[in-house]
Amino acid sequence: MSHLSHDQLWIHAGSEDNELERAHARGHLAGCEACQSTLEEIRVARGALALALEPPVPELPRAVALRVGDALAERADARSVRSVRSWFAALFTPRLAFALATMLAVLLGAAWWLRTPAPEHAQPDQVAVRPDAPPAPVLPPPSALPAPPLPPPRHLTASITSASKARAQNGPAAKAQVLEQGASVVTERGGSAWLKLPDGSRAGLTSASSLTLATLEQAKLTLELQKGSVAMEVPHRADRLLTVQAGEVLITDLGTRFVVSRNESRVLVAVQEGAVDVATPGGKQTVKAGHAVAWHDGTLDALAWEPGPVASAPAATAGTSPSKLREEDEPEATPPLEAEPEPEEEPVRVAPPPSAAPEEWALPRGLTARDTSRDPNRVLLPPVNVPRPKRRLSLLELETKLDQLSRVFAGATMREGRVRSIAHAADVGDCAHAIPMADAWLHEPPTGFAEETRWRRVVLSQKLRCFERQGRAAEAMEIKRLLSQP
Amino acid sequence: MTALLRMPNDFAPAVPSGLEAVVDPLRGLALAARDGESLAFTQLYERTRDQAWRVLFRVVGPSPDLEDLLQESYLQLMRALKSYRGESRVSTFLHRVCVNVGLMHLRSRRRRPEDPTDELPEHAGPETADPERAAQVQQAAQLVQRALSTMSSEKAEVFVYHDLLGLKPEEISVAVDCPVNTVRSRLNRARLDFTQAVTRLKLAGSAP
Repeated sequence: MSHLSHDQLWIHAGSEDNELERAHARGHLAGCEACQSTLEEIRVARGALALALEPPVPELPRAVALRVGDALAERADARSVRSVRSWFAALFTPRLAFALATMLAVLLGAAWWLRTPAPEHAQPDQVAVRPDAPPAPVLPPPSALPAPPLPPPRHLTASITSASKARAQNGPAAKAQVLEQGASVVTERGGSAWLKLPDGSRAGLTSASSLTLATLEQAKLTLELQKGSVAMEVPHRADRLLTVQAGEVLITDLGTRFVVSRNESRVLVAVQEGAVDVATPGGKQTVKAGHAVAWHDGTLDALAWEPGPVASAPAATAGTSPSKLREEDEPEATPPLEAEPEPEEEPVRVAPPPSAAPEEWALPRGLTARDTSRDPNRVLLPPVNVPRPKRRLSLLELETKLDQLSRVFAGATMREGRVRSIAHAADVGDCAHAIPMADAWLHEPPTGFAEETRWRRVVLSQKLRCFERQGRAAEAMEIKRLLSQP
Repeated sequence: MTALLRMPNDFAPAVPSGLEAVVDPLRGLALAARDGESLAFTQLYERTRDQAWRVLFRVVGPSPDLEDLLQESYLQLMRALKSYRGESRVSTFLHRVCVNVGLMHLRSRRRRPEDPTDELPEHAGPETADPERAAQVQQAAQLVQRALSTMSSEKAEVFVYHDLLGLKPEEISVAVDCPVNTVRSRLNRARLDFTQAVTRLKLAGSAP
């Protein structure tokens, strides 16, 4: 006779078996002491279980809920701040760093090898060897030859094409002043300066700005904006990389006219024509004409930027006279570079062809004015596919537009702050305060920030919480309907 | 005893409203919390904390550590949300986290000696009129918790779901992500282990 299984006995002990099973179990238990003993153990276990589950579960105490909620909110806030940083930091694992270093070394080696001209050794079969000639000297093996030194990077110079209330290289900035690598140009309040870079690019500093020419090499031009704003007119050239570094933000030109503005709280990049790459610790993004981005508090927000000329609103920059700026802009409206005396050291300057429009961009490396005079049939053209700007950037317009954009930005920041206030009021149960604030927020015109949709959902959620707390079911359902919409 | 197999109202899924019946109502919040929206995680906590509390209370009883366990459960949920793809129900996942946090606590409590200085929890439950009955209930709860702490995590998890929280094998199958037949066989072995553990503990308790 086989014993009853533990499962059968467990079910029998709970009277969960049907009549047939129960009769079978009783019949077996009557004659089986082992199964009786097991059944008794099961009854004890099930009895303890039933007794333990007898008291009802108390409600979660309010104080406990709030304490845990506060602790979790802190952790969630810290995590949301860390998430961008950790994502960026996670990219730089030791293995990836080693791979990048190896790749860089290989690329540098390949670049050096390609740029080094091949030694002009006579081929052995081309040398007539006389039988009585002394034996040719034996060349040492290639490994014994000293490695040729890497050619030092060729440092170029920039020049100032116009300046007002500006200083360069620790002295007053003057027109046609030559600037070496590492030089800084600083404009005072109400001042401005236009620089010409060695590749023909132009950089215009607005009032109260500071710019350093960090690198001026043939293959690489790097400007560092410490404060203020700089307008760039840059032709895209494959033979050099032009970047503007503004704090954590690195802007790489893709053939464009763009503006970089920096203050203590944000870096703003606006693109007038073409496109730029904007790299931040949070990632890289291409910004096209008519768009702008602002980097602040670890986030990159998109803004609208009107690429066309703006209305002639007065420049609102403190200490800047619109009439003064307009006056300084005037020379820039004339064809550039023609009437300006250029420094003799300028390495890549060339007179424009008489029949062509005023040449704005520098010629490719290797072509000089002497080349044109020697070969009159040679036509000098700007690089292929480089869009020529129809109209020069005006510093006055830029000041005005940047001021408008800053106001939009400040408005959005305040709007985001009010979202936090609403959430805080709802958190502490102050619905009498939270609901009117939420209503006012929802009735304000949106700023056009990319975050606007998320803020709206948060505000609606807080309103929903308050309605549910106050038992306003119909209004809560309406908010749910709004939240369910994408 | 049949009451044990009934799904208590405490753990019944929330009554779906018109909107919530279509999708997991917590899915949007969980996705937003995964993407670093701290307010979304706060809202997720506020909407699920009562359920989490009930699960934890059923597993560990009226312990002074319940507050810490509640916080630990949500911290684990916060970490787990990084890999959340919106395919599973958040409440189901949260229940599983709570059950595992509770069982881990029972095991760690078994390994460390009782601390007589433990403060009385502020959520000890309603006072009963019969002190003798209250003592029996407390003794039984301790016995069940000790027995659970001796069981393997897989068996204890299924046993808690079925015999403490009242879930059906089909629901447990979804929660622990394994076939229903596996749940049934695991439950049978869990009951055997539980019975043996209770017998052993009672014998040890009655020994001089």
